[in-house]
Amino acid sequence: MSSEPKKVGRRTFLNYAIAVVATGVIVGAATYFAVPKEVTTVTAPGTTVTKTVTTTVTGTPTTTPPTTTTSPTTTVTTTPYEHTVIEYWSNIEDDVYRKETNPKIIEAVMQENKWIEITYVEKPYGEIRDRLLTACIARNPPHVAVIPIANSPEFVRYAIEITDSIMGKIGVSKDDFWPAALASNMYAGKLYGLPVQNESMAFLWHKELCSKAGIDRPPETWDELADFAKQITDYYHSKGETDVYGYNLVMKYNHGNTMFRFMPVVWAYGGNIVEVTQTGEVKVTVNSQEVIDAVKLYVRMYAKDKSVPPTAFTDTATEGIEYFLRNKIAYVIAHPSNIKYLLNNNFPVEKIGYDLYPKGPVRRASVLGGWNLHIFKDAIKKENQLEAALIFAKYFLNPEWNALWTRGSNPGNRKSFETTTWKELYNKEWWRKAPTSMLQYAIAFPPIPQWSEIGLTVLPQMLQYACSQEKTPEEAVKWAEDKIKEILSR
Amino acid sequence: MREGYLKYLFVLPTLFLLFFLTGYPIAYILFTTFYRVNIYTFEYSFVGLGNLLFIVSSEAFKTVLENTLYWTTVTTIGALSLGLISALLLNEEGVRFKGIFGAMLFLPYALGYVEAGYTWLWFTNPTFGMLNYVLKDLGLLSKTNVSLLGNRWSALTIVIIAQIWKHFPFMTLMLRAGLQSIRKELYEAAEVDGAGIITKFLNITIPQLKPILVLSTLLMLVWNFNSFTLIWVITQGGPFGQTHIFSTAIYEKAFISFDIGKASALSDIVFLIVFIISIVYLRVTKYGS
Amino acid sequence: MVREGDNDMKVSLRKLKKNFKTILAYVGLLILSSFAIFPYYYLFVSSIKPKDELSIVPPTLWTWRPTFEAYAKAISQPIFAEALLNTIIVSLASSGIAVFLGILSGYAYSRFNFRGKNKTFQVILLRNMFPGIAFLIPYYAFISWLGWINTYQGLTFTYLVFNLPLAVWLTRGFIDSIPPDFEEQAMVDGCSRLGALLRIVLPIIRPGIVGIFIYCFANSWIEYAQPLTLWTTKKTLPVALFSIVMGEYQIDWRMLFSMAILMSLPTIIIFYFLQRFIGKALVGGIKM
Repeated sequence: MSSEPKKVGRRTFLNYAIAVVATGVIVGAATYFAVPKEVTTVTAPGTTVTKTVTTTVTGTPTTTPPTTTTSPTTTVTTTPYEHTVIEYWSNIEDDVYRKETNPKIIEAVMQENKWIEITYVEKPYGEIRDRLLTACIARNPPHVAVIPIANSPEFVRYAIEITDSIMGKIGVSKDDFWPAALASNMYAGKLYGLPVQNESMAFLWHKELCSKAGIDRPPETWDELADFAKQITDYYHSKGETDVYGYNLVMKYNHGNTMFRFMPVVWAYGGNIVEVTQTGEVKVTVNSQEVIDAVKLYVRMYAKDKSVPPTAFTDTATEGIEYFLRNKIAYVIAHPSNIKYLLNNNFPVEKIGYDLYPKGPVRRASVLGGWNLHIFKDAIKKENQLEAALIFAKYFLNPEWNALWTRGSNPGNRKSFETTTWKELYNKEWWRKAPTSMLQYAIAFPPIPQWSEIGLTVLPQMLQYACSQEKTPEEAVKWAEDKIKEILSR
Repeated sequence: MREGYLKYLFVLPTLFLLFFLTGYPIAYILFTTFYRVNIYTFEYSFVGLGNLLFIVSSEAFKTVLENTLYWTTVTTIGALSLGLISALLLNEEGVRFKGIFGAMLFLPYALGYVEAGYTWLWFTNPTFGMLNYVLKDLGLLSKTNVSLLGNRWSALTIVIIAQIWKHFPFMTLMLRAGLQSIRKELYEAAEVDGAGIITKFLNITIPQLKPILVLSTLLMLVWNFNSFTLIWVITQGGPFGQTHIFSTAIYEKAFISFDIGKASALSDIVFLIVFIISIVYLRVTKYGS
Repeated sequence: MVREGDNDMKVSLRKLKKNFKTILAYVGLLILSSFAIFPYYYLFVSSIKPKDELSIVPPTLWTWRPTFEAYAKAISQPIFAEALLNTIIVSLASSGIAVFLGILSGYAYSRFNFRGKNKTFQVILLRNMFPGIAFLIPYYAFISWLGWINTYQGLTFTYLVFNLPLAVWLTRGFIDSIPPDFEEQAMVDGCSRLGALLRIVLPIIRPGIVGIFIYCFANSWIEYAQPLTLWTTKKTLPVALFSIVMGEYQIDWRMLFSMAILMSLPTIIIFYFLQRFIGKALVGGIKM
């Protein structure tokens, strides 16, 4: 019996094996050497060039170059600063206007300030917070980032303080911004970022569904919403259409939308989950009659009237809009982009009602959304980097550029409301009146870094305890108070 | 011995690479377990066993432990069974189209975790997904707008099935390869002695497969234990923290609660459990030098 | 099939038993394949449905108006080609290195005896015993300290960290199931250790090596969290997918599904062609 392995195939196999391994090693090595090393061109410092530049700004949402006359006329001097690279992080743009304007702003900055180079880094929307946090904790953040307003409290302590002199350099003042928007950038009475975009949602109601059930107007108050929702649900269920419901209630765990829809109710009743004082002290105010009333509203709709879909514990905003599209729900809190979505899917315009939020006994409120710009301490190590970052911020917050950037929404710099750039698109899109009008009522989430945890984990759980009637509203709220106190004590 | 130093050369690159790349992170985790870290001021204060004790005594710990053990056991056994059956079937002589079947059985592995997560999420959606309608037709559900993900055990069942679906091709692959190196003569000799299918399977296949079977099952177990993406995309630890396994709990502690100390403490507990399980496992299956 | 002492009936009985076994095997394979493939089917159908049929209630399993516009849109994204190239480079490099080192180390753990052998074998799996999530922050700090953010080697070595331990463990498993006699014999005949490895062991465990390569490749290909964290200016395919699909308010479901399928195609194709190395029995085998 032969003890040698078969010779046929051995050589071919050997060749194959060597090829595979060699390919792997070669590819690895080649890529290492092929990757271009960073090229630094140094422009000689000290050369002075004076230039008057008119940057023009568009009035139409197309790609034609800008045409207005007012603009940052800048005298450009390349002065003592050497070549500086600034890293700018933002999310991957959903909004076509922001997508189009980002490169324009960057180009304008770089053209008029030849010593600055800007690297633009995009992250998917859901990821920018985690990535930025990882970078900050690892002490290697970018120089500038534009992040959602809800995340700002988590990052303010990594950002540089926006003092009055810095504001002067950027060319803005406190009055240019919504007070609630500024509040979201504050910590212990000091400012650490600036709002670049602000927005609010508005109240979407199904005109046809409502009128058939005998209702011709949107609800004025939250209590009326509950009444109407019950009326609608009962009406349709009695007719055998048992999949039609009144209101899109969202109580999902670890899901941002839950707090976007619950907090307006809390504020409308005059309460708040936590209060932050000027000195940065945090008081836990969840265990109050106002919050209990807000919770009772949810309990009423979910458990007693059953005027909301039974899947409220796992429903998201996506489901809400899809129900609406299919004429299965009457009231949804919706973002203007949802209206566009409805229209894109050929939903009849006459059935869409889009108005202000219902109010509560104390006020009308919605959550202030938007984006804030921050400059990070750990990245700014030298004076030239700070200057570059400030120049970038200056362009970003310039009323005309800000209007251009936020054409699809609302600007952070309130001066931009006056520009024709912004007005043109606003006047064209009728569905923007309601959300823009809500801005004056909008309130930002409590500016504490622990808010994410509270809003994502504690609030939904509290609502679930109450709605599943595992605890009474008072007990659920007490539970939340203990939990929040524990979180804050860490 | 002529191979005196050669043998070290074989393993040194591997060990060096792994040590170099994982040394710092592991040290970081071990270090921060005993400290409370302020991620803003980067100050840290020594808390000794505080983090560990807090976690072990918290009420959620029991739930997470239960979930993780249940999850790991079922997904591993499931992947092992499906993998073994597939490998055996694909190895059957009379079967043609092995290429097509093999490729189809491999598909779940080729899909990304996040995409697979969204697919299953879509599939189990009460309104737009197929699952509820199928279950209603089968008589298992009374109506379709029930949230299967809204209940701890049904949610766990769904993610477990999704994980088995995703991972079983790994076992199929390894076991198929393992089956190939079993000498045909062993089977022929047994057949001459009049052995039936079961005897052949138990006395030849399993023992011959043992090394690869034992090792790949252990790897699958460790992998499932620490698996994160799929279950996070589908449930995010919901509903209300009831489908948290250790990995999702750690993510929540680190990125939502910003409590690095506790996240590291949890990681240490995970490591300890997995380490003990693997030692016991190797001993029980009598695998070793 | 025919043995001594057989008569016709015994032979046909045996044939029947064999056919029965084969049919059973086919049935089993069909059931398993349906299980494996149905989410893909679901994905595929959803990706070719026209927009209005996508979230139809109750959901349908087929559409009479298929459209491939989501695919066309996906491929035409400029980032697609670049991300594809990046992913290929990193996956090939890390799988190649993992398999290479895995063969060497797996062989050593199986055949050699040296100090600390058992201890280091378990230590290799150390990183996998820690949950990957816990690694994200310190690992990022470490890699940026090395200056390897946004580099190919940074990501390649990152993938190596989770591919290599498994490659070593699995290779050792495959080699353990081969008795060392043949190599001993070959070395007596004058073959070197390395030669024995290459000429005797490797051909036998070829299916295993191919399997490990496929497994490492697939893992690297679909990896999402690491390139997202460690590459800020470049993207790999999974990251690019989500950048295109994930909006602030809406997810473009059809794009997601179509890109998911596109993204899994290369792995499937590679598997299909390499499959024959796993499935085909060696001709002749090795006789005692």
